[in-house]
Amino acid sequence: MPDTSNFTYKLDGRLVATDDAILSGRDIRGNAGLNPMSDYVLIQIVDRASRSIGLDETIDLREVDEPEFLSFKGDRTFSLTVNERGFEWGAATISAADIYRCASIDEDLELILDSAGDAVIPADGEVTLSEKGVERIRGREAKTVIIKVNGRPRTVPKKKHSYREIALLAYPDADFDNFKYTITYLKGVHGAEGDLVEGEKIEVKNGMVFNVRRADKS
Amino acid sequence: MMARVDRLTTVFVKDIPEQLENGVLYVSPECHVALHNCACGCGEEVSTPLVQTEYDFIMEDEGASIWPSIGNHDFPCGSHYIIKRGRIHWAGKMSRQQIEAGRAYDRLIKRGAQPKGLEAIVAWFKRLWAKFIG
Repeated sequence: MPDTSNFTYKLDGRLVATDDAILSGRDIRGNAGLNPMSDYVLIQIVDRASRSIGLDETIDLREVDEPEFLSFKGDRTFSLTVNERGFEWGAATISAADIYRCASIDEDLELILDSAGDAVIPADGEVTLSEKGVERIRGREAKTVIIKVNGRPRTVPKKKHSYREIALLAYPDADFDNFKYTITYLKGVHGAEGDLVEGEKIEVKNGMVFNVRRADKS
Repeated sequence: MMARVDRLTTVFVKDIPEQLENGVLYVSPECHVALHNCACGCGEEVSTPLVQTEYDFIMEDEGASIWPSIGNHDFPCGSHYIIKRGRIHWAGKMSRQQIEAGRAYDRLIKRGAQPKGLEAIVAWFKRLWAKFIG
């Protein structure tokens, strides 16, 4: 039996199957029904970098591990670097989420924008790109993390936090002499979950959930 | 002093607001927690974590149920009530002995319980969303 397996690639998050190993930028746009083709910028995500693919450029799907493309309506490309690797992008803004994903940056790191005096890019923020300059972005170990305490976001130093410190985030006027606080946590480091009691400390990470209860269950 | 409420309207949110409105039960499935202001109107905030060793939450057409009861024995009001299908069912104040027994049981299940498995969380979400959406 001849090998009839075809090839797949991702375009804008959707899996596309094809029988052709070698595709041009024109083929990929055509398969996606992007018309007129010249009105779209095609970007390929390659090994923590990205580049734009012209109409006549070809890609050999056999040579690329999990090929991935993004399309943008427009005719301009914007340049940036993430951790010193070159990125081309098809829109004047790039979200932090796209930077984390395309550059394979660990979610515990924070993104820094060099040109803005090492400003931190919020995880739900975006970066405006200009056609002239090249924005330089890098990931670095975060000094603070955002945790959720009783369902509310709280920015805290990235260190071990004690039972009392967490209770105080929920109840700033906590009275440890007279009241009892019950603390449970979820989504901790390596998925840690459990309860935190007096005398204990715990490492925190972005998105970790603490719930503090100041009342008895009966 | 606000008037006491006999019903709680359930609102699903991603983050819990900093200030709560009386008569509203805020539920964050993402954070596994529900918060409301004490139903007696005293203004104290009540947190009910929705994890295995804490509270169970069920959403039905008539409203939310939270089990076990809300025992605000540490608050000046000492309120004790059950939230069932969105309604407040007032319960009697508990004796000191009952309160201590509840605390002892709480310590037992916390230190004895194994961390909750992923399956239990998935099942919990399925139940929650089935009620919420379906």
